[in-house]
Amino acid sequence: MPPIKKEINPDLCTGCSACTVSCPVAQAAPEFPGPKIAGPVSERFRLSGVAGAERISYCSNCKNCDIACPRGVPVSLMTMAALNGQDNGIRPSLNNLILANGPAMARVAGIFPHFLVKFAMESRLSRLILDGLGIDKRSPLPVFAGEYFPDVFKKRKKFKSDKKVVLFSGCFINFYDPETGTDFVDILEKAGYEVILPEGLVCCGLPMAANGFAGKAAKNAAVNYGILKKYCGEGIPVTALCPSCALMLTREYGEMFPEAVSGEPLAVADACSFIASLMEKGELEAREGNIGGMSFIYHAPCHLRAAGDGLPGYELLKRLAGDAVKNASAGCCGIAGSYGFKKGKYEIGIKVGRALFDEVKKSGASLAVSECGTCRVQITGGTGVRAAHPVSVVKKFTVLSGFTR
Amino acid sequence: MNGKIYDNIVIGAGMAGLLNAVFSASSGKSVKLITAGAGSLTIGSGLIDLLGYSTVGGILKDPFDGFSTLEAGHPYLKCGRAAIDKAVRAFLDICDKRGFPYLPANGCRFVPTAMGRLKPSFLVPPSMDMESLRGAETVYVAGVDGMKDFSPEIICGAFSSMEYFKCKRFEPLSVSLPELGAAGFGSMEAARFMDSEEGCSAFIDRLKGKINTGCGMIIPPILGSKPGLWVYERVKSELNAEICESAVIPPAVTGYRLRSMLMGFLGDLGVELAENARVISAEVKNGRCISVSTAGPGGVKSHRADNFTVASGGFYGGGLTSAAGRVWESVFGLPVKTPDGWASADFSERQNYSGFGVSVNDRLNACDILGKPVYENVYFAGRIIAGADSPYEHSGNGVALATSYLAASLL
Repeated sequence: MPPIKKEINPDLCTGCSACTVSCPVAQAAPEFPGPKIAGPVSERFRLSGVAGAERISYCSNCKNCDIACPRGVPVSLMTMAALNGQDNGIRPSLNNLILANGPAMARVAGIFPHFLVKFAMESRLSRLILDGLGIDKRSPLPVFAGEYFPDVFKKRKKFKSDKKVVLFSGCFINFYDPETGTDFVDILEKAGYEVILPEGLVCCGLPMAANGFAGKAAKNAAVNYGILKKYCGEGIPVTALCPSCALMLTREYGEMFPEAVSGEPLAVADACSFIASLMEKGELEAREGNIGGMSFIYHAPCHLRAAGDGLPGYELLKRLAGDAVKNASAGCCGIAGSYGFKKGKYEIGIKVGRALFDEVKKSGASLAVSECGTCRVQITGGTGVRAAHPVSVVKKFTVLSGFTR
Repeated sequence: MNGKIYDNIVIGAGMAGLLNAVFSASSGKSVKLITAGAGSLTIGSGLIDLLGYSTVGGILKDPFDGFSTLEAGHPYLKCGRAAIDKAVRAFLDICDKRGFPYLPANGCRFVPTAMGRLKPSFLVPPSMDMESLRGAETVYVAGVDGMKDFSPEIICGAFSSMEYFKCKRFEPLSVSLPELGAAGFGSMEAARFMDSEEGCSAFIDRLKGKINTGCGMIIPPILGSKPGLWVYERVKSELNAEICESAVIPPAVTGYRLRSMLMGFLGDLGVELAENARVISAEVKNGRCISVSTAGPGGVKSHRADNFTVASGGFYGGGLTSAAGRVWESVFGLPVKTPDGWASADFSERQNYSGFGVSVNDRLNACDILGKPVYENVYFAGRIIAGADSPYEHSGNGVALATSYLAASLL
């Protein structure tokens, strides 16, 4: 049984090359044959039992190919399926194993006192060891938080309400950035919503699928789908802070693992899209507060663009901060989840992100804003400019008032 | 339900959709652009053909001369000459304003193609105008070693035997850019290399000494991938030669430049963009469209507007859907008239299907057989409209320009 089940007709592709022209990796790395060759062209060979193009592991799964395709060909899905070894025997390496299993690493780190974890993760020695394991020592590896988000949330004073919302917080918020999770919960409670963080949710599975462990990702998909489907069925909205988690939970579960997620696809609202809907319903009022001369440069994560719902976070910021926010419109940041941390891929990631870094620096903005956690890490790594999720900007720089509390 | 009601929701990001969004947003309208795919301008030539060939045969020296021979129902006849003139001026103004000027309208302008033909076009960037080579006695056709889909010998062979060029000498030439690899790269890779200082000087240095001062050159479209003329100007002045980029098969770089320019302008105009979003249905009431819906991760979402502009393309872009014996418009399910004989067995013959589309009135609303508009606040622009056969008459992008401008001006 192949780990990613796919029934894709590669002949939907007419070979127009819009994907390859739009591929950030193909621009930065001539080694990569580009999405047209890696995806539909090679797929025709793979379906006939002949090996497709080599070096398709250069694909970062940023999905700009899917965004560009005029015919709706699932280009990145074909490449991902091939990378999961079903056709050409590509085997994941050690760095894939580490990067695919963030939660396991976080659990190990959680045993030790935080100062030790921080020291160990930032020390040159451990970066050299990781480098030996295939995680580039120059990459902007984030440090585990002192207290993980689910624990922070458990300690919070319970807020009870008839209005409920489920939060799929995701690994980045859980283990590296609990503050953003707390900012979002604060906003939701202000609007009178009780936030549910369901027990038993696991990593969405995207890092696993992207690193060659689609079998494990399928198991996670079944677990998350089972839990979240219940809430969707009861009409309780599900939200996510990370665009990649949202894309995986909704569209990609169905595309990759139709057997693990039988039934209706999940509906998972982007956090900012949900905030905007609260404002429209009159459950939350947000007004421009004192931004104290701050200016913001917004970066649209590729997976948010691929989701097909526009840029709700950017539109929300424009409503609240007006001209103080500018869209960088400079394409992929280059990190693509775990891609830009890998040895041999780090340089490509930096090259891809250069246009964005230049735009961020040129803007003179005091804060970069983006929904994706690893995009934020990459932007700060490439520019030195701090970065935050739009919900944190909404929380800190606007005057919020709820109507039911 | 998204609460905001836009002045104009544009469906499609090809030439017609991008221009309609730009035209309507520049006149102060709130605009949202919804698109599935980057649009074929990404890989196209970016040339605006108005009318290259008369329907009664032959190349038109002035495209407007051919209007009298257009068949009834042609989109140009719906727009009228005055609106087309205004559309052309508006387009050229935008190009000037964004630092990527196209040459003024001046009848037919020829562009060389990689197949060694002269393509009649209308609005052309300076780097593609064959006229610039008029004074040159020797024209070098310079390719890049190992580049796909561009053979100087084919072009030299074809042009040398053309009456049009009888006083010129064509010579093939090859430039080596090993930085791009030994083979397998196309003009886009070369153009991106030329964006860099390293690439631009390498190209110039390796041509110096190989060509005579004051000569002409035909090259693949490699003078930078970005919207602007600085690479063109620099190469021209340092080589002291007139240069003409040819039209090539996709990805053609030159359309990519124009698209980048228009996308940048849309961002500055505050147009909201939803990419990778396919419109799956429309809500209509009392002869008006209320909203269109897309499917996103949060479920189906409807987008409301006072006006909608459908620039969703033809069969290729997904604006038209077909089944055996039947064609319909994809968003509203409007029926499309299909004359007998969709296709001709002879490839070089006129193909009926390339003129299939939505029948519109002179306000670009879809209309029924009596000419009554179906939805009065829904406008159609570009390839989706019936009656233009762009491969046959060479009106590609011209219909998009004229109809996207008219639709925007009717809001």
